[in-house]
Amino acid sequence: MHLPILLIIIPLFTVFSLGLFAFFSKKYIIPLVLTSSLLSTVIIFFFIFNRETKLPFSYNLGSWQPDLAINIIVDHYTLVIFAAMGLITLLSVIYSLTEITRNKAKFYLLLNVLFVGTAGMVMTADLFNLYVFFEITSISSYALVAYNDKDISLEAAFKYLMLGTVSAVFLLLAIILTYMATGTLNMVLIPERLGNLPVLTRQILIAFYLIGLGVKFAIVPLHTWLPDAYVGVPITYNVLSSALIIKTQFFVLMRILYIFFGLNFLQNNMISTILLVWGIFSMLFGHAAAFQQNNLKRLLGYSTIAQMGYVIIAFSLGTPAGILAGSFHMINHGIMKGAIFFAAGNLHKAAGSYQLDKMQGMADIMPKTSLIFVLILLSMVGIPPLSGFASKWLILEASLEAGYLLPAFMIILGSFLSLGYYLSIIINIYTGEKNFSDNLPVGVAGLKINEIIPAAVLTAVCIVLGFYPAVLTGLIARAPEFLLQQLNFINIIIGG
Amino acid sequence: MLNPGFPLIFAALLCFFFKSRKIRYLFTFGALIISLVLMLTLPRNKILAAASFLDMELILNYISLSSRNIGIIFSLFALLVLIYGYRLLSLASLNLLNIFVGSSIAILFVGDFISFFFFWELITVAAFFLVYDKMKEKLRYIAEYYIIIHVLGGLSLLFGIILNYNYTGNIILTPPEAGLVFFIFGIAIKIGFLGFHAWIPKTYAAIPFQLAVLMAAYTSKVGVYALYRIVELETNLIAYLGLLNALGGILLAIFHSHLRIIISYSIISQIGYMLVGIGLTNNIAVTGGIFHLINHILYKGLLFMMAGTIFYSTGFENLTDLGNLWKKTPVTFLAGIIATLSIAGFPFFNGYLSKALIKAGLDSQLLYYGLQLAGVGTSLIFIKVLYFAFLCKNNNPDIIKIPPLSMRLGMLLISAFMMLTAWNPAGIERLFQITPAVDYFSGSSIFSGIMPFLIALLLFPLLKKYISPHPEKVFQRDFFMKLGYSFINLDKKISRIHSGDLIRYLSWSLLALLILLMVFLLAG
Repeated sequence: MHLPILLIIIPLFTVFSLGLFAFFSKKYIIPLVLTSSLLSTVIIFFFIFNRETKLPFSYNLGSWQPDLAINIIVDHYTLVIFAAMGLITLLSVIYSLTEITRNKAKFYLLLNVLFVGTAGMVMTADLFNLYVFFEITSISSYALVAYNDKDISLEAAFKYLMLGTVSAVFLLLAIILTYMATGTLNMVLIPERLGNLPVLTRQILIAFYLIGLGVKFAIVPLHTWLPDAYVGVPITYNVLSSALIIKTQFFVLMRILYIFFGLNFLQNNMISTILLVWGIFSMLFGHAAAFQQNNLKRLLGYSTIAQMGYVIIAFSLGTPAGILAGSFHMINHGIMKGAIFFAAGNLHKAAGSYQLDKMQGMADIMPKTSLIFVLILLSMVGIPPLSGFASKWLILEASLEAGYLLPAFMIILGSFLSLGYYLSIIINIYTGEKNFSDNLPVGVAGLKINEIIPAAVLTAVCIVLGFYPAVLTGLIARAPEFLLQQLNFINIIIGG
Repeated sequence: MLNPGFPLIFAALLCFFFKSRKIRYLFTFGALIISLVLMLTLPRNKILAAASFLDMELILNYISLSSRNIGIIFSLFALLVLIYGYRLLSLASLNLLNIFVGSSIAILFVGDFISFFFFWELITVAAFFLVYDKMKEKLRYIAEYYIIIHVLGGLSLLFGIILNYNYTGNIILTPPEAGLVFFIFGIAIKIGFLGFHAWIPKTYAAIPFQLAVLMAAYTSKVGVYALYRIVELETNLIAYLGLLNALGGILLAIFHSHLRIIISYSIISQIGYMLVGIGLTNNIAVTGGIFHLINHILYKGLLFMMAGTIFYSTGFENLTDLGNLWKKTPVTFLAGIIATLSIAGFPFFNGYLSKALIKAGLDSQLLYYGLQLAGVGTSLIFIKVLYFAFLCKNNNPDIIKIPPLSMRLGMLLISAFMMLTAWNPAGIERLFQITPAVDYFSGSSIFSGIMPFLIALLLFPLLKKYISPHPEKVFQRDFFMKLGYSFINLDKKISRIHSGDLIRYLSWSLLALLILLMVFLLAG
C-alpha cells in the first residue's frame, strides 16, 4: 500500500503541474488544486476511518533494510495532525478560491509546497528528512507571508525569515549533534543510542531542539514574528498557520522529546517542569498582550499563542490523559481558530479593514457571520456546550490528576483573561450602525457560497463536538501510547 | 422525561423561525404551561432523564421538593412578567427570555455538576444578551461588566467542580468534599453577597425596567438555590453571614434615592434573610428560607413593576423628581403599599409567613434581634419610597404616558396572588407541600411581625432629613473595575515592549536559549 507517500507526492506533483498549467492554460489551475487537496483529504480520512485495522503503518522508501531506509510512519499519534489536516486543508483551499485574485498559480504553488512540508514533517521517521521538510515548510511560509506585497507583509516576512533562519540553525545543530552522538539519523534507532550519553549533553540537545522548533510554534518570547506576520497575509494562510503549521511543529517537537529521550528522562531532569512553567508563562503572556490589540488578526494571533500555551501545559504533564487532552485541544483549537478566521475574512469583505473600531456595526450587515463569531468566541472562553469547554475540561482534569494544582488554576485564570478581549471584539461588532449610515461598504451584496461553507462547517463541528466530545477523543484515544512508550514507536519499524 | 426547563429552551429555538410577535408569545406561554405541568405531575426523587458526556453520567432530570417549589414560582412569575410586559418586551428579548428563564428552571432539576455548570453559564450568556443594547453605550458596558463578573464566578465554580471530581471521582450534585472555597466564591458572586454585590444595582438600575422585573427574579435566586444544594457547613456560619448581608444591604440601600437602585440593594438585604434560613440546620428555618425565596420573587417583582410603571408614566426614576403621585396612579400606589407591607413582613401580607417561619427556626437571640433590626430598616426604606414617590408634595410630576392595561393587569394579578397566599396559608402549604409545625397567627408572632414596621413608622419623621433624596449617578466605578483597569495598565507595558525591532526580537530568542542552557548547567 503506497497511500502515505501519496500524501507527499500528490501536492508535490501539483506543484510541478501548476508551473506548466500557469504557462499554458490558466483555467485548469483551480480544478487541479481542488482535485489534489480532495485526494489528500480522502487519503487522510481513509486512515482515520481504518485506524483500527491499518495503523500503525510504516512505509519503506525503495525497499531498503528498515534500519537503513528512509521510513514513513503513520501511527495513532500522527492521527492528531491528520484530523486537523483533514478538516482544515480542503476548507481553506475552498475559501481561497475567491480570496486569491491575482497570481493564482504562484499562491497555489506555495500552498502546495507547504502541504508537502507539513505532510512530510508529520510522517517522516528520519531526522534528516525532518529537517528538509522543516525547511520546505518554513520557506514556503516566508513566501506566503510576503504574498500580498504590502509593506507590512514584506516587513513581517523579513522578520519571520530572520527569526526562522536563526532558529533553523539551532535545529540543524541539534540534528548534527544527535548524528555525531549516535551515528544514525533514523528516528527509531536514536532512542537507545542516546541513552548512553551524559545527562547534560542530552539536556543541551533538548535545549537546541526546543529553541529550533519553538520559534515556529511561537512560544513566548520566541513568538515575535507571529502577530506581525498574521496582519498582512491572506486569511487562508492565517487559518493554515494557526490550525495546522504551528501544531505540526509542536507535534514534531513532542515526538522528538518523548521518543528520543523518554518520559522518565524528561521528568527526572526538569524538562517537563520547564515546559510546564514555560507553557503557563506563554499562555498568560499571550492573553495579556492580546488585550491591547486593535487589529483583529493581530489579536487572534496573540490568542493563538495563548492557546498554544494550553497545549504545551497539557503535553508537558506526561500522562496519557494529558497527551489526550493536549491533542484534543490542538485539533479543537484548529477548528475554532479556523472558523473564526474565516468569519473574520468575511467580515473584512464588508468592513474593508481588520481594525476593530472600523468593524463597528457589522452585526447589522452580516448577522449570521457575527453570530458565528460570538459562538466561537464563547467556545474559546470555555463556555459549554461548545467544544472549547470539552477541551478545557480535559486539560483541567488531566492536570489535576497529575497533581498539578497551580497550572490548573492558571488555566482558569487564563480563560478569564481571554474573556476580556474576546468581549471587546463582540462589543465592537455588535455596536449600532454608525459608520455605515451614509456609505455602505462594497461587497455587502452577498458572500459567495465558498466563503460561507468553511466557517459554517467548522462552527457546526464545534457545536457537535461540544455535545459529543467522544467523537474526537475516540479518534485519538490511542495517541498517548505511541508517544509515551518509546517501544511502541520503535517496534513499528524494527522488531515486533 | 423532559426536564421542566427544556420546553422553554426548545421554544426559544422554535421562536427563531417565527418573526411574528403573537406566535412567539404563544410559544412562550405554551412552554411555560408545559413546564408547570411537568413540575406538578412528575414523580419526585427519581432520576427521570440521563445522558453521557465524555465518560461521565449526566442526570438531566431529578425533581426534589425544593427544586419543584422554586421551579413553580419561577414559571408562574415568568407568566406574570409576560402579562406585565406585553407591550414592552421586544421581539428579540422574547427569545432570550425563553433561554434565560428556561435555563434558570432547568438548573433546578439537574442532578450533576456538569449540567449544573452548563445551565449556570447559559443563564449568564442569556442575561448578557438581554442586557446588551447595540445602540446604547452604557448598556454595552454594563453587559460587559455583568458577563465578566459572572464568568469569573462561573470559572471559580468550574475549578471547584473539577477539584471535587478529581477528589471523589464523581460529578453528582452533592455537597463537595474538595474545593469548597471555589464553590462559595462562585456562588457568592451569583447571589450578590456583600462585597460581590456591585453588579446588582448597576445592572438592574440601568437596563429597561421590564427586563429588570424579569432578571431580578432569577439570577440571585438561582445562587441561593445553589448555596442550599451545595454548601453544607457544620456551623451556622452562613446564617450569620446572612445576617450581615441583611443589615449591610439596608445600609447600602437607605441612602440612595434612585428607585431601582434602592430596590436592588434591598435584594441584597432580602437574600440575607434567605441565607439565615438555609444556613441554619433545623428543618423549619430551611423551609422558611426557601419559602422566603418564593415570596421574595413575588414582592420584589411587584416592587420593580411599581418602579417601572412610575418611570413609564412620569419619565422619572429618582425620588427627587417624584411626589404626590397617589391620586394620579392609584393602581401603582396600591401595588406599592402591598409590596411594602409584604417586604416588611407585616402580618396578613405576603412576606409575613416566611419571615415567621424563619424566626420560628432561629436558635439564637442575636439572629432574632438582628433580623428584627433588618426588618426595621427594610420598612424604613420602603416607607421612604412610598412617602417621597406618592405622598410628599414637594414635586408634582406630570403623567406623560398612561401605562397600558397589561402593565396594570400584571401588577394587580401579582398583588392578588400575594394576598391570596397571605390569607390562605393552608393553600400555600398544600401547593408547596410544606408542613411546618408553626402557628403563624399566634399573638406573639403577629406582634413580632408588626413591631419592625411600627418602629420604622415612628422613626421615619425623625430620620427623614438624613435619608431624604438627592440626585445621583447610576454607574460608578467599583473595586472590581479598578482592578481591571490596573490590569489593563500592565498590559499596555507588555504591548509596548513589542517595538517591532528585529534585533530586540532576535536577542529575546537567544536569551531564551541562554536561560535554558544556564538552568541546565547550574542545576546539573
